[in-house]
Formats: sequence, structure tokens, C-alpha cells
Amino acid sequence: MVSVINTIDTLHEDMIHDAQMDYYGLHLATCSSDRSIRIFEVKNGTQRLLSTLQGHDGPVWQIAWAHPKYGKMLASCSYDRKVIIWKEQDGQWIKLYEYADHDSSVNSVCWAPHELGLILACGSSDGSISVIKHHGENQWEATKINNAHTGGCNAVSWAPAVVPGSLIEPPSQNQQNTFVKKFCSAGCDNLIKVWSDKDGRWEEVEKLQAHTDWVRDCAWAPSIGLPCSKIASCSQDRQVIIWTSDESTGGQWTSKTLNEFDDVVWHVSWSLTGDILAVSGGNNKVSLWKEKLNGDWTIVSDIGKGQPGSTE
Amino acid sequence: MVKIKQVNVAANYAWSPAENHPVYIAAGTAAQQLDATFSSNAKLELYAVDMADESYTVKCAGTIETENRFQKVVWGSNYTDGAHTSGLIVCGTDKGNIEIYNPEKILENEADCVLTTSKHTGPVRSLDFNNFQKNLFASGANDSEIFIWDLKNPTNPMTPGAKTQPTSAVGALAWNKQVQHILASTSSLTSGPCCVVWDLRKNEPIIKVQDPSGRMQCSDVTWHPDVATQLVLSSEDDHLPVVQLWDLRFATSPMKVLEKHSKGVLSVSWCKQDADLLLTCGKDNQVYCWNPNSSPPEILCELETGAQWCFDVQWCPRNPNVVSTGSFDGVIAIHSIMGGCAPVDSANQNQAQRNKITDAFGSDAFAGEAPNQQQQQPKAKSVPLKKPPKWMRRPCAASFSFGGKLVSFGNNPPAENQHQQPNHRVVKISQVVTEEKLLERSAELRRALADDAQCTDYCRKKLADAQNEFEEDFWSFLKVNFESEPRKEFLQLLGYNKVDLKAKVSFYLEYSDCCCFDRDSSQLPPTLDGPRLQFASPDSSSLPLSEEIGEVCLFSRSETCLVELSHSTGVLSLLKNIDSMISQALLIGDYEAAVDLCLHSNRMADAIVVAMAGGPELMEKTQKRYFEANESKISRLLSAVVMKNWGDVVKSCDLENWKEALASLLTYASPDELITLCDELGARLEKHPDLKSNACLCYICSGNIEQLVRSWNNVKPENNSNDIQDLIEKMMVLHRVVEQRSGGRSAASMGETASEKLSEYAHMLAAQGQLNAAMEMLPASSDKISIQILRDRLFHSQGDDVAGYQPPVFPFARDGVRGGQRPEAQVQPRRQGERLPAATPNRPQDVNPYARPNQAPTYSGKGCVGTTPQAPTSMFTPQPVSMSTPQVPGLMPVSESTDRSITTPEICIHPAIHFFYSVKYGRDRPLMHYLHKSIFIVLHPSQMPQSQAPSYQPYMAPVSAPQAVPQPMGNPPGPPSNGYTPDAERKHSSGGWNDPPALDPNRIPKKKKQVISDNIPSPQPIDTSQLNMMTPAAPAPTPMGQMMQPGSSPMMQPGTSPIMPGVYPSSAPMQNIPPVSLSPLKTAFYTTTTPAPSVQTGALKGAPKAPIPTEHQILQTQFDELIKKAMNQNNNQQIKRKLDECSRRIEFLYDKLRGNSLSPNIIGGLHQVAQSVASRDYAGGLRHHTHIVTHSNFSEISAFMPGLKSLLQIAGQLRI
Repeated sequence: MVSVINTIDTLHEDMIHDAQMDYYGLHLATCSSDRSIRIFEVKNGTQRLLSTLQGHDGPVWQIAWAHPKYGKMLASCSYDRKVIIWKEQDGQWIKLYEYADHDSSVNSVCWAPHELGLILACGSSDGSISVIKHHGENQWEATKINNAHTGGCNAVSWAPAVVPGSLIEPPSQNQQNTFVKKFCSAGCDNLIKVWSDKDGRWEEVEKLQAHTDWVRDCAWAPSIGLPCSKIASCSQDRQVIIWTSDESTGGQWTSKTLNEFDDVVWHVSWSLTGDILAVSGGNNKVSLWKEKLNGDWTIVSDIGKGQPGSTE
Repeated sequence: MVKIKQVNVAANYAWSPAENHPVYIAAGTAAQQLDATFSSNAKLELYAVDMADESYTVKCAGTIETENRFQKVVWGSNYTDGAHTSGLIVCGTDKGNIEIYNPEKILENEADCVLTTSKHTGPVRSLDFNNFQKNLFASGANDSEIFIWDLKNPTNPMTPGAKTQPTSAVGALAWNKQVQHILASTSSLTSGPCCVVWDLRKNEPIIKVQDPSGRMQCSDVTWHPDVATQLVLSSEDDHLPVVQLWDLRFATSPMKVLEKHSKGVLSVSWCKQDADLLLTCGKDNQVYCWNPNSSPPEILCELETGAQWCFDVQWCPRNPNVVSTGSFDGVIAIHSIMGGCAPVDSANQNQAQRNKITDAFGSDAFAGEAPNQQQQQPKAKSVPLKKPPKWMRRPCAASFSFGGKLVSFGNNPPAENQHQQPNHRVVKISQVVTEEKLLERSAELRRALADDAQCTDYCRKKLADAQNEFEEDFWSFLKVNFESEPRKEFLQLLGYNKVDLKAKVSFYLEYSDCCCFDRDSSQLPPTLDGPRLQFASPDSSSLPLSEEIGEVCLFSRSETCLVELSHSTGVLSLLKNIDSMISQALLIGDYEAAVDLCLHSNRMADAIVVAMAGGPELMEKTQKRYFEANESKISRLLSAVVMKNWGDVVKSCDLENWKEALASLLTYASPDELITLCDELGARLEKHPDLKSNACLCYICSGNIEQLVRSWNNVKPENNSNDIQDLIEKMMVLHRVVEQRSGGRSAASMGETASEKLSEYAHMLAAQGQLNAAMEMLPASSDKISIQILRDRLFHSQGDDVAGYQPPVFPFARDGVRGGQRPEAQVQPRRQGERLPAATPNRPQDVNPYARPNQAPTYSGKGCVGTTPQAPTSMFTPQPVSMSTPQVPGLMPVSESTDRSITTPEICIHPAIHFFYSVKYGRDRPLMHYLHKSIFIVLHPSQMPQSQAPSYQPYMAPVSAPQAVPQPMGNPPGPPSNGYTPDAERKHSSGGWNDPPALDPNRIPKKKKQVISDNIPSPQPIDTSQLNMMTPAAPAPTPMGQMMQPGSSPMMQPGTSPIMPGVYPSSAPMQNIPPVSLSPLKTAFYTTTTPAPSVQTGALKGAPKAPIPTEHQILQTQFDELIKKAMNQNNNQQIKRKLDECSRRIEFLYDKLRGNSLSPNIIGGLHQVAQSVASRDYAGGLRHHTHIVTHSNFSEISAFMPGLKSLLQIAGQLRI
């Protein structure tokens, strides 16, 4: 059952490309081809525009809220090849930091789990991925993975910092140093890659191959209660694939096609409990999927009145 | 646009269809070209364009030799019912043939031609596949010859209509992208129409496009990908190097003219995926990418291809980021329109030349060998399209956020978008509910928990709905808890009805009175006849008692021991002699001997009777000996009944008879025992493969939620939300029961497993949007960080004003990043593999590198150095602090709410500490780096890191910090090193909520016991165990070693001057304070216990204290009450003084609670102590106390734990 509780006219002058709620679900950030980012306060079915952030010179593709322990902070990436980190400071949104070391459109930004510190991964059409890390006092250091995805990187998504299977309790005590520091990326080389931090270097530890066209998005599932690592990926090839790796059985990644859709799949998003996957397709349909006991995936809800065959 | 790959071949080529994967280019040797080797061979080759391959070159995947060279190559996808899954490659040769190849065969290097036709007379220059019927293609040649071929029946091509006159070569053909029977063809003639549009249904041209200037020599034609009536024509005339966009509805003149090329345009390609992208190329060697739809048409990107005409440009059908160009220098180049970096290839050009030469010699040794060298050239940057292509613009997305909310946009058909409906800017937030059943059940449960009556009804309903016996048992057991006499009800449930129960109880009691039964019932005194006689008689099956025998025989059902015993009468005759001996013994009053004799002759009844006369001691002894002598199984039951040794029953009973065991426990065990015994029985049952499910029932009886959950998990590993709901229902009802049993005074605390379950459940409810319900379900007393995190999130998600809840503390260590105070930070981009510059200090931790005040312990150099606190958030500039200057005027507090009255405390640090930090943080960090926070730490050498866990924890208190900022507990200051115990670190990291307690104006400030500021508490004796951590190897005592307690910081009020020993306001220069000389041990004690009070007393003067968090108020209530009780009870002055001291010390605990500065395990332990106090179990309280002391960081608790201990001891002594 999906019921609309807020309908927000963002007043963006062009297409919206991303809409993200903050940690508490009180603020909504949207970004658009009109080059702006808008921030709304959303409460009890009402909304209020708080701020419009101007600073990009091209369509803004994605936005990502940082963990609230860092304050109200937002990262955005754009076709203008820039990544901007915004911060609300004394009630004003300011441009905290701008990163412009990509040679092409930056398509995806994703904050690392807060346990790892203030770290942002950015995937670009130039094929590289940047990992930008805050070192205190607004000093940022970037590490670049070149040639991460030939033809461009479309999405990045961090693994939960907590080891799979450790249930709800975050690792305390001596597990401090065993936080998982990994992320996955999806690219125009039809691959999903898993990167792992090895003494400050990012190493490609996995190359997941099953899609036959651009991988549009990838999302690492939250680990709450899950005994294994899960990544969902969606592609131009209209498929959504769930990748699973179980450390207890060697950590080998296996793929399972969730479904083949009738159009390009643009976006996948896990629920915070990691049990439901929202799949957004080019036919403007959103469907929600849930894993059955036998490991198959079943649709639990279909949202949107997309017209079949609306493209091609 | 940037070149990413290159194939060195002079060829006409085609991309594989969009459906195909992997992507290939089919290249057929160009007919109109000769290469440098003058080779006249002809080949058809497939090149695998692997985007995942980072190399610049493209691998040849298959080659076949062909008879003819090619004018045109197209690749059609597999048509309906076609057998060629990879489609077919159709080639027009210079001899007028059309040759059709199967690409799969080419990959195997098999030169089988699927079909060859020779209908055309001249070179076949144009070919195009129909977009709808993939089996149809059109071909064009000289003399205006156009054929339409059907691959299903290739022998009889048709014509689109009568040939146009005058005839000319057909330069290009293009099927309409929207209407399947429309075909456009171009003519190379300048006179007459340059483009003819055919309607195949009518079999005639329907429109002839004629350039008004009459000079148009049309080289190529392509249709608009979306608009059926629009097409683009290119002119190859150098005098008219234009591209015209025509709309056939207004076919008198072109709608738009694209003018930029300086020489004739040879090829156009319109992007199928984005109609705003049109590629053109020409004799000026330029490639342009246009947006033909903008007014005026805009060039989005341009590219210079090389030194030769670019005769062909194509979008890759599958990957629109990729375009290819073919030029007359024998190169097919592949470009990415996304810009970015790509290798510049000069080496490859040479390689290409070499290849051509090897080709010329036909050397197979080199054939197919792709140059595989990595490009090491510097990268050229290239500009991407001015405007992103459509396929980059994500039209829709739905993302989950907290509370099962789904944020989505773009849920409208794209067709509407074009009409600029405001819909495209709408974002929707929806509530996703996938577990409706769960919510229903959860709501029901919460209603039930509201009051007892509801709860009973609820259990009744659950019982009625129970699907199986197990469930039934479960709910009946839970239900009876709400009855007036649950124990009896339990028994009844176990199969004992009330009447029987009475009979049984009396039976047991009577039985135990007599304690034994005789071998010969006739020897019993007549008054004892009756039931017992019947009981002992072997054929007394008429009575229910025989059943009871079975039931009471805990140790084996098959036991019929009683009967057997009563019949072992073999030694009767012998007894006569003994009689006289017994009589003698009795006569002389030697009861013991008489008993011995009786026992010896197995005359148990006599023995007992005699023993009774001999007094309780002898009685007990006799009983014992009786049981020793009678090893029958029932004796253990008897023993249990008589000796009240139920532990034995529980330990040794046959689990098959668990019901009986439980029943006897319910009957006999004291309330306190019952809990442990039931738990023990449950634990045994859990291990039994078949009976483990019954363990839960035992736990219901004992009210042990934690074990219930564990056992449940054991029995029913949950699979879905229903399962967890099943469990939660039981848990919560039982929780309520326990609450009720304890008189509702203290909420039963949830154990770890139970808390975990509840937290999981709360997560589930939250995921369904039931934030409030989730909040209710969270165990209030739990201090687990995950639960705190969830509570915080739930609370604030509901908009900061949730009725009935205190704002929870922010469960994370805040890590503020501020900008704007300095010019925008410069980032040094670092390529993968580069190391950090050596100058950058290596951060010991990734977490929270941006330290809050407590992040790094502040210390200064050798000797006594004074410095000034700074506000935690202010930027720090390391400054050397002169040792000779106790105060540094330049370092004034720069606090957000600056309190100028704050004076400059001074600290004194032992050299050993300095050494310690030098070791710990390494040489590369400037010492003064750590001085920048408003922390003062004064460590005593006895707390040096040499000591073992759990001893050391650097403490710091932001002296100048006003109420808003203190963060007593922070992130680990660094990785454990050099004796710095991980334990201390652990505590730091796990208890990371550092915020000050939120002040609620509605709450009455806690009545605090005024502590006189100059009253520095005297040392209390403390456990030696607590001192273990103070290593004997500790350096010599420092005169001023002192330490502050973090917990005291929240009370610091602006306007008050913190005073503490060793840290003095500037008005009282430290020189005036004589150092106190103490023995190492005593010093250690002083340092850990004394300073906090003084800090506090200073702070207390001004303002009221913050409230203690609700969940911990119970601690205060319990302890204060206990002190009060003890005060009332006691007359001894000495004890009274002790109590005063206790009271003062416990006040520090409350302060710590207010500051939320205690780690979860300590708080948990304290709650246990409070519980023990509530149940007046002071010994237990002391045990918990010891547990805390041994498992916690000493310095964290040393201020109040001794006080708590003596309170418990006094309470024990006074028996209050």
C-alpha cells in the first residue's frame, strides 16, 4: 500500500533529477536541470521552501545528505564536472567546498557511512571515481581512481560500515578498526565494481558482470539483520540484478535477476531495513520488490500510471 | 567529444544493432579507396568494440575474404521468425551485387555468404533496413534503381514505384522512423528533386524535395527520430556546404539550415535516443554535433578528425555515448561524446601504417594481431556537449527515506512532459506500507497493553485464535498471570485442578510429616490409616491417588516404587530380636542408638518416631540417613519435599516429567526461588530436542523475558514479520505481567536479546511509518547505542514535539565542519597510489578527525604550564606556551557565548604524562597540537598507561565551556598504542553521545543537596581491587596531580568560576597553594576521587542543575530513598557522617547522569543496583557494585561508587 502524503511543487524550471530526504525525513532536497538545488522543510503533509542553492553551471544530477552529526550538509554533483559540498551555517546555506577535478560530468555522489568519517565518493563520466575526505577545518583530500569504468561511471554506493550479520548493534569495542570501508560503482562498461580501501589505496576487489548494457545505478543494501552483503543494480538493459555475497561461504558474489522490465531502469533504492527495493523505470513506473523465503523476488506494489510503451 | 578507440582500416562499416551484445563494427573493404599498399584484396571484418577494455585499440574478432569490395555495409537485427540471432550483415558491392552475411559465421572466420543477389546494375551505394519490419531493407544503385528486399523471400525484390526521371545514382536511402512504409531516397543530381519520398503502400513517390537554390547535391538523408514529417538532407557541394532540416508539411523550403561546414557535407546521423543531437561531417574534416531543434540550430560540440575527408559519421545504436567516424585516411575512429580524457594516439598512427604494409603482403602471421600497447601519452582534455544528452537526464527516481517514506518524482508519462506540464517539477512523498497485517496486530497489542482488562481479553482472544497446542499453552500461561492467583492457575494448566491440588498439597505435606512409609503398613498407628494405607496398598487403583503416584514420580513415570517397597517383607522374623535392643536403648535414653537400630533394621517409621522424641537435630539427621539409605528414585522427590531442596529436583528430574517438576515448583518454591528454579528448568528443557518449546512456559512462570526470547529464538527461528510479531506479543504481555507482579514500581528491564528483538521490531514498525508505535516499543531502559540512535531518529522524525517523550540526547559525537572563516579550502588532488605528503599528520582515526574538545587530551610541556581554555569550536592556532608564564594573555577564551569572567585555570602535568603523549602520538605531531581545545587534563602518574585495563581513560573537562557545548565523552583520541588500554578506548567510542542534556523548562530542577564549596571531601577507603590498576611501578607522586571529571562539565554555568584543586583561577595564583605530599597510593586515590566535587561545587553556586534523564530518575529515587531510610533508622553519629558522605558522593552520580557521561554498561549496572535496592537485596546490590567496579573504567566511576558501596553496606547493616 502506497499512499501519497505530500505533493510538493518544487517550482524547478526544468527536469528534476534527484530528490532526497535528510536523516530524519524532515528536509527534502531536490536538484534539477535548471542548475539549482532546492531545500524544503516537510512536516505533517505541508512543505516550505527554505533555500535555493545556486552554484552549478549545469544540470545537477544528484544530491546526498551527510549524516546529521556533521551538521546540515549536502553534496551535489553536476554535468558541469563539479562537486559542491554545501553546509547550513548560522541559518544560511553556504558553499563549503568545491571539487572540480573531474574531466566530465559527475553523475553520482554518495557519503560514506558516518562511522568512517566525512568521506564522499563521486563517480564521473570521465570514467574515474574520486573519494574526497575531510581532514578537519575544511581541509579536504581527494583520492582518484582513474579508469574505474570505461565510458563513464554512473553511480556509487557505499557498503554499510558494519560487518554483515552483526545484526543491529554496531560494532563497538575492538571492532572499531574493522569497519567495512568499501563501495560499489556502476558504469557504462556494463560492470559493477567493488572497491575496497587497502591502506589508503582503493583497490578493485570485485568486478560483477552480468548486465549487457550500461549499469545505471547500484545500491548497497543496509546490513540490518542481513547475513550477507547485497547490491542491487539496474541497467539500460532493463534488468535489475541482485548481487549477493556471503562471507561465511567464501564471499563469492552471485547474481540473481530480480526482473526484466519493459524499459530502462534508472534507479534502485533500498528501504532502510533493507527488505524492500524500489525500482524506478524509464516508463516512470515505480515498483516495490521484496524477497521471498525461497530467494525469489516478488512485486509488492506498483506505483505510477506510466504508459506502456511510452518510449520506443 | 574525445577519441577513445580507433580501427585502422579503409572500409565502409556498420555498427551491430542495438539489441546485440557485445558491440561489433562490421567493416568491409572500401571499394572507392586504395591504401598505401595498393592491395586489391577484399575483406569483411568484425571488430569487437569492448568499452570495458581500457586499451585504445579494437580487437578484430573475425575476418573473411570476399570477392568484391564494398560500397555500403548495413547490419540488420534479427527479424521476427528469423534464425539469425545476431542479425544479418548486408553489403552493397561495387559490382552491383548485394551480399548477405551471417555475423556469427564471420566470427568463426567462415566465409559463407548467406545470399548473393545481382539485381542491381551499378555499384550499390545505399542500403537501409526498415525500422519496423526488420526483414525488409531497401537498396539503391545507379540509374535511380531502388529495390525493396524481404529477407524472408529475397528472390523477388519490389520497387517503391516508377523510377524518377532523369535517372541518377541513388546516394542514400532512409526509412521513416515513425511510419513504416515511407522511404526517402536522394539523388546526386543537382537538377531536379534532390530527395524523393516514397509511399510503399501507394507504390509511388509522394513528395519530391527540391532545394530552392537548385544547387543542392544531396549526399545523405536521415529522418527525425521522433517527428514523422521531418528529415535532414546534407549537401556535398563545397559551394553549399549546408545541412537542411525539412518539414514535409511545408516542403517548399527547408525549415532550418545548418551552416558551419566550410566544405561539402558527406554524412549525417541523427541520434535515435535524443532528437536534439545530430551529427554531420564533411570534406572539411570536421564533425559537428548540432541541436537542430533549437532556434537557431546550436552546435553542441565539434571535433576535428584528421587530415582527410570524413565521409561517414554514425551513432553507435547501442551506446549513444559513442559515435564513429570514417575517414579517407583509412581510419574508423570511435569517440565518446562525454568528453573527458582519452589517450592521444600518435604511436597508433604509426602502427596503422605498419599494419597496412603487413596487410599488403598478406602475411597471416600478422593478421588479426591487434597492437596492444598501453597509451602513455599525456591526456588531452576535451569538452563534452554543451548540454547533456537526454539519456543522462534521469527522468524519474524513487528513493526511500526514514520511516518507510518514498520520495519520488517523474511519475508522469514523458509525452506529457513535452507539453511542459507543471507535473515535471512535482515531487511526491508517499508512505509505503508493506506489512499491513503487522501493523494491525501491533496496534491491537498496544491497545491491549494499555490496561489489564484489555490485556486479559487480548490473551483470551489470542488463546481462541491459537493455531497449535504450543500457542495455546503459551497464551493460557500468559493469561493466568492476570488472574488473582496465578500460581494456582499455572498448576491447573499443568493438569491439576483446584480440588485435586488441595488433596495433593495435603498429601505432600502429610507425607513429609511422616517422612517415610513403612515396609509393613500394619505397623502404622491406626490414626494414620486411611489415605496412606490405600496409597500403599498395591491394588488401590480405584483411587485417583494411583494416578498421582505417576504424577509425583518426577524421576520416572514407570516407577511404582511405593508399592514395591511396601512388599519387601523378607526380614520380619529377624526384627523380633532387635525390638528388645531398641527398647533397651530407649530405656536408657539413648535415642541415637535407638534410631540407629531402627534404621539398621529398616524400621523407618520407628526410627522417625524415636528421632522425633530425640529432638530436631536428630530428626534431621535421621531424615538424611533415611534418604541416604533409600536410593529409590522417589526418595529424591521426598527429599526435595522434606528438605525443600527444589534445586535438586530441577537439576535431576526426568525432563519427560517437566510438567510435574514445574507444578511442584509452583506449589512449593518461595517467590524468590521460583524464578531461578523455573529458569533452571527452562534451561534444561531448552537443551532437550523435543521438549525445548516448553522451556518458554517455564520462563513465563518465572517472568524471565530475556530467556523467553532466547528460547523462542531457539525454537522458532523467525522468517517474517509475523513471526517476530508473535514473539513481541508474548514478550510484551509478559513484560506487563512482570511489571504488575513487581507492583508496577519499576519497569522490568529488558535483557540484551529482548532489547535487540524490540529494537528490531521497532525498526520494522518505523519502516512502515509507525514512528510513534516504534517509539513506544523501544525498551526505555536500554542504553544500547543502536536503540538510542533509533530513539533519536524516531523522536526527531516526528517533528521534535512528541507528546510524552523527552527529547533524546543526540547519540552521535557531533563533528562540526565550518566554512567561511578562511578562504575556500584548497584541495590537493591526489592520484591513486600517491601517498600523503609527509607534512600532513597521520590521523590516528578516520572517525571524527575534526576534534571536539574532548578529542585530544590537552597537555602541555614539562613542568607546570598555564594555559587558557578556548571555546571548542573555535579555530586553533598552535602557539608555544612559555613555561615561565603561567598565564598567556594572548590565548583568551573565544567562545560562542563567551564568558569573560572565566578565569584562567592552570594545570600541572607530570613529565611522565608528557612522555606518554609523545610516545602515543608519535614524533610527527607537534606537541602543541593538542593544546587547542578547551580541555584541561591533569593526570596523575598513577594513571599512567602502563597500568592494565580497565584503568586509564584520559579525562578532560572543558573548563570554560558553557552549557551548550560540553561533550564529556568523545571519540577515541587515537588508536591504542603503547599501553593505552583498548578498554578505555572502547568506552570512548561506544558511548559517543556527547550532547548536553536538553533542558526542558517544564521540568522542575532537581532538588539538590547543597554542597558547600569549600568542603573538599575527605578520602574514602576503597577496594584494593579498585587499586589494582594502579601499577606499583608508577612514577613518584606529583605534588599537584589532579584530575577533573567529565561528568561535571554539563553543570558548568556561565558566570561561575570552576574551581578545583590544582586548577585555580588566576586570582589565586597557584604558587600560593602548597603542594600536598601524599603517598603514591593515597595520591592515586585523591586524584581519582576528589577533584570532581570541587569542580562541581564551584559550578553549583550559580544555576540550577539540569534534570536527570527520565529513564535514570529511578536511580535517584531509589538511592535517595535508601539514604533517607537509613538516616531515619540510624542513631549512630559515625554512621550518620558516613551517610552524609554517601549522599554527597552519590550526588556526583546524578551529575554524571545529567551529563549523560556514563557509559552504557555502568548505567546498566547501576540500574541493577537500584533494582536490588528496591527488593532490599543489598548483598546483591553489592555484587552488582563489584561487577561495575571490576568491569568499568575506574576513573569514570570513582567519584560516586565508594559512596554507593558504603550506602549499601550501611543499609545491609541496618536491615532496612
